[in-house]
Amino acid sequence: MTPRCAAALAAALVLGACKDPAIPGRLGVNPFADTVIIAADTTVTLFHWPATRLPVRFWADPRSNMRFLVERAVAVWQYQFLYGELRGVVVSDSTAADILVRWRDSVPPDVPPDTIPAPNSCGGITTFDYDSSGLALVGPVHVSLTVLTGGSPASPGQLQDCMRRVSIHELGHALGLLRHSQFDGDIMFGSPIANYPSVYDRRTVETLYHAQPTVQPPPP
Amino acid sequence: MKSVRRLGGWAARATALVTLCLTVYPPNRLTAQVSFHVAAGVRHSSALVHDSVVTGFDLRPTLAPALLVSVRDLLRPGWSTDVTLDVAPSGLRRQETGGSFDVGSITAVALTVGLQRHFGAGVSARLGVGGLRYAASQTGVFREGSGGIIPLGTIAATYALPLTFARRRQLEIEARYDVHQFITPALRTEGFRSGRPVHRMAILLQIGWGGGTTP
Repeated sequence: MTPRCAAALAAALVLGACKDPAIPGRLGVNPFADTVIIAADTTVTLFHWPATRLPVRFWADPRSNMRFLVERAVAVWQYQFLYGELRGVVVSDSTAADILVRWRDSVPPDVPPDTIPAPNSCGGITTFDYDSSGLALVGPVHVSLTVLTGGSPASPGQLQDCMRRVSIHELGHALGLLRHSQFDGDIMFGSPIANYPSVYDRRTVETLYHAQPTVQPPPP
Repeated sequence: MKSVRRLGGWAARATALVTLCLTVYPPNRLTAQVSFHVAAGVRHSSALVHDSVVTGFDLRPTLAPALLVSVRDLLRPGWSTDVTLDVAPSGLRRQETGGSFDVGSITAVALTVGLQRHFGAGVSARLGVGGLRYAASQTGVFREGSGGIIPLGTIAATYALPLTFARRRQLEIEARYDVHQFITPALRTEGFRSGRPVHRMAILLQIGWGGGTTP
C-alpha cells in the first residue's frame, strides 16, 4: 500500500461516515399540562422534576408491599427515558422525600397478583400543594392508593394486580403528567387497564421532561 | 439507582486473549521483529446521539482516559502490522440549552488490526480497521443492549522522540483518530433509522518493548 493509497482509504473512511441520521418524528403526544384558575386568571400548570433535583426521592408506606409497588413503578417510568431525564430512589425517611406514597384506608394483603380483571377494585389520588401564586410547590407530592368497595368484589390477588397498574398511573401524575389520556391503551387513561406505559405515554413524558415548566419544585 | 460499569463478554474475552498471548509469549521472548506496546492518554469523542424533543440536545461521552495495548510485527523494512486493544471508560452527559447533565457511564472497547508505514525521522502513519463495543448499564439508549460490535476505522500519526532514553524505551507520541457509526436497539425502537458517525480523537504517549530498533 502506497502512502497515496493509504490517504485515499483514510479519506473514504471519513467521508463515508459523515452523514447525520434524521431525527425521528414523534407523533401522538398526549396533553400533559393542566390549567388552574387562580384569582380569576387561568394559569397553565406545567410541572416536572428538574434535572438539578435528581434523583427524585420517593417514600413508601412501610405496610404490606407498598415499597415493592413504588420501586417497580419508579423503575417502569425510568425505563421510558432515553437520555437520563429521570432518576428516582426510594428513601426510608419520609421527611427527606419529594413524593410520599401511602395506603389511604385499608391495606391490601401482599399476595401474588391475579390477572383476571376486577374493574374499579382500586384507585389512587395524587395531590400537589401549591403556594398562593400557583407557580411553586411548597411541600412534597402526596400519593395515596386505596381499595375501592363500591365496585364488584375483588380477590386479594385481583387487588394486587390493580395496585400494580394504579401505582404506575399515580406516580405518572406525581412526575408531572397532570392530565388523563383519552385512550384506554395508555397507562394514564382515567381508569387504567394497560399494565405498562404505552408508546404514547412514553412520548408524552419524554416531551414533558424537555418542556419549560411553569411550576417550581418544592424546596429540597 | 446504581450505575453499573462492566466489560461485556466480548471485551473480557479479547482482554483474556491478549493477556494469554503476553503470558506465553512475553516481550523478552519476542523475536527481533515483534514488539509489545502500551499507550495511555486522553480521548475526546463527538456526540453519540443528536436528538430533538422540544429543543435539540446531544448525548456525549466526557473527555476520558484511553489505554491501548498492541503487538506489532515488522513485515518488511518500513512496514509493520499490529493488533491493538483499546479501552476507554468515560462518563456520559446530556448537553442541552441550559446545562449539561450526568447520564451515567460507558466503556468503549475496540480491537483493531493495523498497517503502519515508517517514513523515517521517527515519523510513521497507521491505518486500521476493527470492531468496537460499548459496555454500559442497561438504561437509557442502552436499555435494550448495546447493539453488538460496531465496525471501526482508524488512522494515526506517530512520532518517535529523538532522544537516547526515548529510543531505548521506544517512546512515541501518537495522535489517533477513529470513526464508527453509533446506534443501539433502543434508538431504533425510538425511530432512528441509521447510526450517527462518532469521531474520536486521542493523544497518547506510547512505550514499547522488543522488536529491536524502529525501522
